[in-house]
Amino acid sequence: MNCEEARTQLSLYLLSELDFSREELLEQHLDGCPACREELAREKALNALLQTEDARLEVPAGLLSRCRADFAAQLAPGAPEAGNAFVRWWNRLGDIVIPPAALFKAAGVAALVAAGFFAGRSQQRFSEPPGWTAARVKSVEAAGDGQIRVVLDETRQREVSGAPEEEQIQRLLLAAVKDPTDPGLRVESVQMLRGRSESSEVRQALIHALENDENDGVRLKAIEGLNRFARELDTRRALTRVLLRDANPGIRTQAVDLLMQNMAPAGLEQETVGAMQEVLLREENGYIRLRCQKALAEMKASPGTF
Amino acid sequence: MDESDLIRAAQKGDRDAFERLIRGYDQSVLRLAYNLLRNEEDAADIYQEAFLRVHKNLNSFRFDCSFHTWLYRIVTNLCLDQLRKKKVRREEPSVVETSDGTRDRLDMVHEERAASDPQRNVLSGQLRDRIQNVLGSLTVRERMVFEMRHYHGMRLRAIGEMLGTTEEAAKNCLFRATQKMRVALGDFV
Repeated sequence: MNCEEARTQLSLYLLSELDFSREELLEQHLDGCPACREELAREKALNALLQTEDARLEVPAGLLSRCRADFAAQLAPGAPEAGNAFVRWWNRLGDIVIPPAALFKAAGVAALVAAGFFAGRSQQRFSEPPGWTAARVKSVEAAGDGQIRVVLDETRQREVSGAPEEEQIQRLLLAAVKDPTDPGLRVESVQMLRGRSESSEVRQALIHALENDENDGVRLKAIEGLNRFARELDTRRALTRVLLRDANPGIRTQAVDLLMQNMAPAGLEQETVGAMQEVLLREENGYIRLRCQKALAEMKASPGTF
Repeated sequence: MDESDLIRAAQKGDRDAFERLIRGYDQSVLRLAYNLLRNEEDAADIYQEAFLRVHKNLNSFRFDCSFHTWLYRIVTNLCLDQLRKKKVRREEPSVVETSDGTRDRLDMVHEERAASDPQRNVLSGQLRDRIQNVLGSLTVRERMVFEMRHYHGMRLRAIGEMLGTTEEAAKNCLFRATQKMRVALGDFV
């Protein structure tokens, strides 16, 4: 391989896109050619530059949420659902939103009941035109004079905006973090709360999400939010539990890294030491085991349990 | 529930499974579309269209490739179409008229970002501009291959497959794109 040929291969080499024989030839050439090695170093620098934050346009804030809401709205009328044609027809009707005035002026009781009932199903998570109300029939009874009385629960969509430090916004975000129906909403809410983790209420919510949320994305955001508090006892205990129990090795890795970065002397870290010793017995991930071994050695703790 | 379970459930009409399935990908799909098209509305349109197609055609997905490959094939085809349309219609002028006179569209994006982070220094701004200018000057295919290889970690073979071409052609595209990048960023490395 000559220099000209070698230089056309450098970028592919760095991306591990060369086949074995080409890679071998290039490496042989590089061994004996300082000029091409220099070129390789420049290529590496270029790659590093391309990986910096400046190389990318960040998706504007709010665009993802808008896309999700728009998509949910588009999907709502014809969304597939388990079950038969009746269920699909039902759900299509369920996405119709009934303005309250029209609802109460409806002449036929059957129509009224049907409209209210179906509209009730639209409350779940699809966006609705502002000012419109979704309703759900709570109960029905014969009124005695040949009429039927229908009681409706209504849900009105409302928009609230404010600074992240405002109590009302924080309260709403804390509620959204616990919304079991929408992991995307929980991820975004945790992300927005991350900057407010000096508040003990927010911190507790992040700890709860880290330990209990079934969605990996939510737990990852929560652990990032707890970064600054990895010296606090409640956070360390949570990280220790996560290190032992979380199913996702990426999250366990973050937990071990955070625990290690903020290590106190072994005497004050009995729970962490115990957890790390246990990790050594059962962890499959080599990196996590190594980190624990290192941490135990640094604390002069035994790697085994007795 | 792993991904194939989610797909099967979504194929049977389970809306929650469908939602969980696409939530695993929608952020990177949007990032890809936004970086390729560099326009918020276009990226949002690609997002909608791509996932509507996934929704409509999920029943025909037969697991003969990964869901990721299948989805990205849809997204990249839509982006390619959009980029080609733009090239023909010249929909995206590089300058826009504002109350302050004629401004470069990209500069305006950068200013918004810089304003939100005053720590950014001049050098980093120059680098960003340079990279974005080169990306803007690449051909549609070069841009696509470069984006997917460098920022979405896809192998060239998969990229070739997605774009309906060979691995070799994808390699050549990437090589040309990297050359242009190297020339433009020569004084930074």
